[in-house]
Amino acid sequence: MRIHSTGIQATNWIGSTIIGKWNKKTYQIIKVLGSGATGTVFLAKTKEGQVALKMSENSISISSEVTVFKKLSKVQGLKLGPYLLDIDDFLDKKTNTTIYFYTMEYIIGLPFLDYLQKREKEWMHLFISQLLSQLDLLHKAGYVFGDLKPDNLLICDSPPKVRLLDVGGITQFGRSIKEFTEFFDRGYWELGNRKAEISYDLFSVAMIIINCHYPNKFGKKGYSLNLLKQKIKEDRNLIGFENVLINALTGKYQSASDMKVEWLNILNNGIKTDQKTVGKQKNNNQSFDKINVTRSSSLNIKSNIKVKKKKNKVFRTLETILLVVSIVLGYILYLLNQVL
Amino acid sequence: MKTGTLKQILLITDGCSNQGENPVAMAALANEEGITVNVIGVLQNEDLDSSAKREIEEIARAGNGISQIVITKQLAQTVQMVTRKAMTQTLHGMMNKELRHILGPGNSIESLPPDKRMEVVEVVDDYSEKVDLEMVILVDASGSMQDKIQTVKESLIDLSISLNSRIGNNSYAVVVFPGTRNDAEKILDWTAKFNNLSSIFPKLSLGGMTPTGPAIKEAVKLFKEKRNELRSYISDEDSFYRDSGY
Ligand SMILES: Nc1ncnc2c1ncn2[C@@H]1O[C@H](COP(=O)(O)OP(=O)(O)OP(=O)(O)O)[C@@H](O)[C@H]1O
Repeated sequence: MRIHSTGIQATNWIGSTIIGKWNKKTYQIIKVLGSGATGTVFLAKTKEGQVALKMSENSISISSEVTVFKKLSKVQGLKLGPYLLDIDDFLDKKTNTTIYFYTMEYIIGLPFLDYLQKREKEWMHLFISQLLSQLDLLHKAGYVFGDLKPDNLLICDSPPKVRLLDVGGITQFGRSIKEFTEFFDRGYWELGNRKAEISYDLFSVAMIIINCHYPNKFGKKGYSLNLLKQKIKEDRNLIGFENVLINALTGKYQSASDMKVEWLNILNNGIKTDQKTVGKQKNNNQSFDKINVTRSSSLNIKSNIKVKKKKNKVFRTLETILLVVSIVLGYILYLLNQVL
Repeated sequence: MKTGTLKQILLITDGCSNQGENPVAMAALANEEGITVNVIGVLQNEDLDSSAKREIEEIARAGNGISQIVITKQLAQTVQMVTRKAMTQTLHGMMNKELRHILGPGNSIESLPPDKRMEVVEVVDDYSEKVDLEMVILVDASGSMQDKIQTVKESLIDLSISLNSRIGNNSYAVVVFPGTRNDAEKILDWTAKFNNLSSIFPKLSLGGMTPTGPAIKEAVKLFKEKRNELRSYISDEDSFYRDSGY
């Protein structure tokens, strides 16, 4: 998706001050945060504090991203991406071209894979769970994230929380996904189309998990599902996760929360692998302690399940009794009616 | 805004034309018929002789389309993006025409205040999702393309995955140039799906000539045939037998 459309020379803007033509807000450009297919994102200073400012010569791409922001802001409880602050444009006098931009919350955080590099894999487990919760909210509002990949995930600290960047790919259900990245796109693997569906995002989530264990990724070869299954099997840190991954890859989940339930179940039932950090770092004693903790807690959970089953039995007998009583009552009422 | 059907030509080539009509003139002519011509230059590595590059850009400019030069590995993503961008650009152009009609000359989407602009862009987005698309893909089959043809095939299948995920209808036709007998040869007639693509390409004979101009001409003919076919279909609905000519 690299069509270098933006003629914006990123470094030229550093240090300059821009004033929006319509809303008259002043921004001082501090540094480049990154650039991609649709524009360049800068860190900028305002009277109110720091913001992320995305600019492009292409009014369409800027406007359609802002449209997405506006729609998302109407979804209650959703805080997955940065929020929108301002949208404007200005004339670049040097080149006599109009530059379009919008500003949004500046999210301070570490890129997903960098963050995980030096940490225990529990963190990855946590972030995937958080991600699935966020996606569930988005899906309930009728949207699919689309271009889901580690590059678009930032980890903010204290408490650690996953945030999503690049809302430009968010697509209404039933429409076609316009922004995607090969490795995380089910179309590339020929395991589905590019329609905005819940299962499209969940496929990407599975590929993010796989990417955590295969930092260098790998390419398509032969029948994709077999290749992916093989890759999952070959990494011993993925033992125990085969089912949830394959279900997500083959579109078996109805919702992100279904996948989350199964994900948490696996974690709670203890994963039978040696504790290694995701970034393939050496073990430390601390994580050994954690094994014991998870093992014992998994026992607790099993007993919990038994309790639940017992409760179920009690509940069922109660239900039957209630049913019988109500039928009898109805019959009595009927008889009374007949008599009176 | 009446959009009807978007008509696009996608030309995939790796060098200069050297036979038949001038491709830039043919692209301009195609544009006269309301067809957009987009060009993708595929290279093995970054270097490309400047005359080929210039021709690629000129064809797209004349055809009111988009051009992009890529290395073979990135072809799939590029084919998809160029097609998308070209569709939005065309719709955008139509929208601007409409705006000038309503608001007077000098007006365009760009000159609107941000919130109005967003509304217009949303409408354009909506159209590009729902509009019907007719697309003729011209594949350079000259000798130097030999080792790229497999990637081209995969890219086209990838493109159809994207386009068929839209709400609007699609039909595609594929022409290679040079063909076995003519300058340009239709290897896939109008179809909604690319499923049968893999069975056609292996038959390709890769020759030395690059008749880009004649290929564009052939594409324009295909659009006309499609229109006529539709018309005859509508006019004699009760006839079971429909001669497709040629
Ligand atoms: N709100 C933000 N806060 C902090 N950093 C940001 C923010 N928005 C973007 N960035 C940084 O800028 C980079 C590019 O931004 P963005 O993803 O929006 O570009 P893009 O053109 O959409 O790229 P692509 O679609 O290829 O991912 C991001 O990878 C991220 O590092």
